[in-house]
Amino acid sequence: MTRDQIQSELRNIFSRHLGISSATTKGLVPQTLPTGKLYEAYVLGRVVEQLATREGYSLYLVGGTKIQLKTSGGPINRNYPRIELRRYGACVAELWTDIQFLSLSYCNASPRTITKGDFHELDILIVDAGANGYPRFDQVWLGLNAKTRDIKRGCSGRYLASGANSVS
Amino acid sequence: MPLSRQDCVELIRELLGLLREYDPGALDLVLEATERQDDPRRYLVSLLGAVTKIYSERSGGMYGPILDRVNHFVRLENGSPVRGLSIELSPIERELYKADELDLAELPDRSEFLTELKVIMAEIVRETESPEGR
Repeated sequence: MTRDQIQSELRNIFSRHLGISSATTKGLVPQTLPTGKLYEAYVLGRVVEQLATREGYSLYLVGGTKIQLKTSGGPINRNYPRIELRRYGACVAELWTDIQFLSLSYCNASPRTITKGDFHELDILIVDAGANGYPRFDQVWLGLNAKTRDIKRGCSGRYLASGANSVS
Repeated sequence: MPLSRQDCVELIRELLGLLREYDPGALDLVLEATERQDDPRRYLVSLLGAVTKIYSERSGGMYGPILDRVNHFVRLENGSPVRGLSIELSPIERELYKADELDLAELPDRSEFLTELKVIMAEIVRETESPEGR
């Protein structure tokens, strides 16, 4: 192909596939918002697969009928859906998404007011059953950040977080 | 005829112009995700790689297989399948966009766009890697 042919083909592809979608598909919600969230869902799918097939847990979504990801992290709110990890019918741990948990240094320090630097936030977090609010670092069973691109900000919780990089 | 350096510079301009025209939000993400290269041929290929990566991340085409996988291993307590996957918006986003959540099933399917872009990308790689194009 010549440069002109490639240019023309690029214009065709963009106008055919991107020409109308952004304005019509979801009102005002910017298309940048879901960026990365589908990948987080993909990683979640791989995690539940491994939890069931390799670790032998029975998995149940409770507190809702849909899995909810969030645009920003926060504490555990038990009114929200989570996946229970059950063994012999008993819930032994819970999988939450986009949760902040208390850091090792905060938990080891003398009691003080919690500040922003006392949290780590991870996309997928498995914690002790029944955990509420900001779980302590020692309540965390597994934490993952699902990022498809290089992380340019500081990487927190590295000692227990597994980076799940793109496989596409 | 193989693509020259100048051809690649023109194609980079074209690609950035198309992103600016059709999806300015994606342009920022693409530029952020593309590694800077001195060689315009490599930079063009990197840019196209970033475009495909970013659009595959938000293509509804991935939604069905992901939900199928989840439903293979996770059930509701009454035995029913999980109904879907959504993104809960923050309080300020709810106010701004007048929606509580974004259902991932409603994302536009970019599979065809990605397939066609990958064909072009392969063509560009072929044209820039041929001995005459160096």
